[in-house]
Amino acid sequence: MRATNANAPRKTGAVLALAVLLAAALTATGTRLAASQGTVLTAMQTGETVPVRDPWSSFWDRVPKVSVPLSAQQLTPPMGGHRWTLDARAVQDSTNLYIELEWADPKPDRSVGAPQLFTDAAAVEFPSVASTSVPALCMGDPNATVNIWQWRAAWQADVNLGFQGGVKHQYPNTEVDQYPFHGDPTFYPGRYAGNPFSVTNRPSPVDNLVAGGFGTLTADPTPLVQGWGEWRDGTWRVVFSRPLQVGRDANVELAANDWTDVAFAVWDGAAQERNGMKSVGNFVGLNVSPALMAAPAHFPYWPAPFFAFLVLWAGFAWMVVGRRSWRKRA
Amino acid sequence: MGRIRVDGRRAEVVEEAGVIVEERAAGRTAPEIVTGSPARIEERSGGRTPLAAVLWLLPITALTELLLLRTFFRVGIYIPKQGSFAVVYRVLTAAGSFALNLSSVLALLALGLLAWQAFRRSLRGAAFALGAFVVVSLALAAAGTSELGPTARLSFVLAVAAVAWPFVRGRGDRWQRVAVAGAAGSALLSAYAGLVGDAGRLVPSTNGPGGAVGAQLVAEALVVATAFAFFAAWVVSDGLRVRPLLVAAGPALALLVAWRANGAVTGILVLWTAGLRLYLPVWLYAVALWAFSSAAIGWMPRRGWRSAGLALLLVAGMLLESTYVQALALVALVLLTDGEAVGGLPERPREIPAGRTAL
Repeated sequence: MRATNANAPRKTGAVLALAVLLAAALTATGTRLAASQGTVLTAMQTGETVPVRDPWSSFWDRVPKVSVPLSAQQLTPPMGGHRWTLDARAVQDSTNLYIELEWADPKPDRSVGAPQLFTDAAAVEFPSVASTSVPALCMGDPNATVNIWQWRAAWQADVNLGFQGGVKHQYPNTEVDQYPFHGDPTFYPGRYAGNPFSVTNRPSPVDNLVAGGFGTLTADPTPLVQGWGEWRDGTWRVVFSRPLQVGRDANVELAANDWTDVAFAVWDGAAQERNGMKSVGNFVGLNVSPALMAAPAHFPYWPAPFFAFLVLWAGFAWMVVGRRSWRKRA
Repeated sequence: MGRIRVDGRRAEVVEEAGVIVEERAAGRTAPEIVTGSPARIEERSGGRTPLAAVLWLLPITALTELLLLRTFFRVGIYIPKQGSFAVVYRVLTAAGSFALNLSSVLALLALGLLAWQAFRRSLRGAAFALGAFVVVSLALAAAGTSELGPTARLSFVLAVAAVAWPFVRGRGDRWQRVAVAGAAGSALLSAYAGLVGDAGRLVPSTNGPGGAVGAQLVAEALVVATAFAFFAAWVVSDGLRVRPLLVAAGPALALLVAWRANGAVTGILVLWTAGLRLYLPVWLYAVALWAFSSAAIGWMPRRGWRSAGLALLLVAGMLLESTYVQALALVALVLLTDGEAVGGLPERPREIPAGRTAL
């Protein structure tokens, strides 16, 4: 028996026209029909003193973390990556935001004292205006600047041990006869130009940067962002700390209940990664929550109930799928 | 099967003869006389039903969105925004934004129509699962994630099971069943990773459920393996042809060239569009892409809905972190299972009948 439907073309036209009109309305109003279910990093409030200079403190082990996939590294074998994931934690104390990053790195690289040396580094990136999504790839664009906090292991070594970028730090057996005009700033163009690589008295191992597209990266000379990084047993942990509100152009301003996007990047000095050669994670949501950070495992026997629920759901799915018809057969 | 048409008891059928098919799987209470294979009940409107039109248009808009919004918009920062370049850039990105919205609407519309079709054909399980996902997705878009939590992801899991399982356990092409199982498995593993994240948000704890990263890594390996399974399914069903292999080499070579030219940007783009970390050797992904594209192109003449399904699977990606890509993945699974769970797919116009040689 062949079924015909002479009204089908008319119905089809009406349905498609309705779909196009709805899509046009959504586009005109800037609304999306889809709901994001991506990773969300929640910075809950704490009343404790946050150990910024102790990334391996047990305090941080009590802060819930999220895992963010990292893009592949491409310079040294195995090309594809040994860093698959970065773990991120966040808290706030109503004044400052603290973000801790953790990632695997078999060997710490802390020197830029020679042209062939590159430092391990990590960065946190926000849209300069919170609650807006970064439209383009990594470095923003002129209409949507980004605020980047970049920590370097080499800067950490400078803070820990004093400036480590001199020739004798890399080649300790070097002998210097004389430096003409030693100390005269005229002959130190890097320092004179404010080159971050030439800073010898570093107040923070974290650079506060602003970018509005490739080639526009600018360092803010004011040390707004503090941080501390330590390597242990094949893993780096780095803490970033900055006041929620700083009142400076192009620097992200945050407050309780704010939502914004945040992205992370990691450089591996041993793989000669620098500048754009890095691993970048997915954009995740950051929620500055006024809720107090609870003690862990309030839920009894957690995470057993989670897995029990999944088993129940699987059983429900089996019931739905297994019975292909809910009507009895005649 | 291949070029031999069989009835419900797997006996060979003479071309154009009326065939009595017992729709046992559909739970029908009486035999129904149809012409055609059991998995493709034709609507005799030349493929112009609303469902056919939506399913035909959806891959086009989805691919347009992927190319213009998730790819061009991101790499467009390299293009100088002056004069005519600025105008072209704005027009193309606006078109990409419109394509995303149209694709979202069409994806939910397709699922709604498929759910309705399943309901009318007494396939209540699939009807319930697909309908629930559509309702939850719309509610989530209106109310926001914090209110509804992981509901959409749970309904997505249910819908994947409802669509894929009847086909996987059925009697269809073995390699196609393996491939569909792989695609569904990858989707479920991604959903598990997402549910772990949801649990972490609802019950913040330092001893929360683990395995999210492992699930994503396994899902990515499964994606690569499934690409080869689809290739095998195409070869078994339609035979190996040179032209699809040659055309499919283009995307694979583009991936290798892009990786070689700027691996960092390529890696970021692949992660942000397809959700793949590229943690396996990159050449393996290139070969898998070639195999996947060969199947998609090779199926176009005779099994166009499968080609459309593969296109939607590519656009949906692996991470499935929004209801939009989840909807695309569900529609893709319906198409790749030949609509078995929903009572079949509408006729696709201009398809080359069995027995004729494709290009």
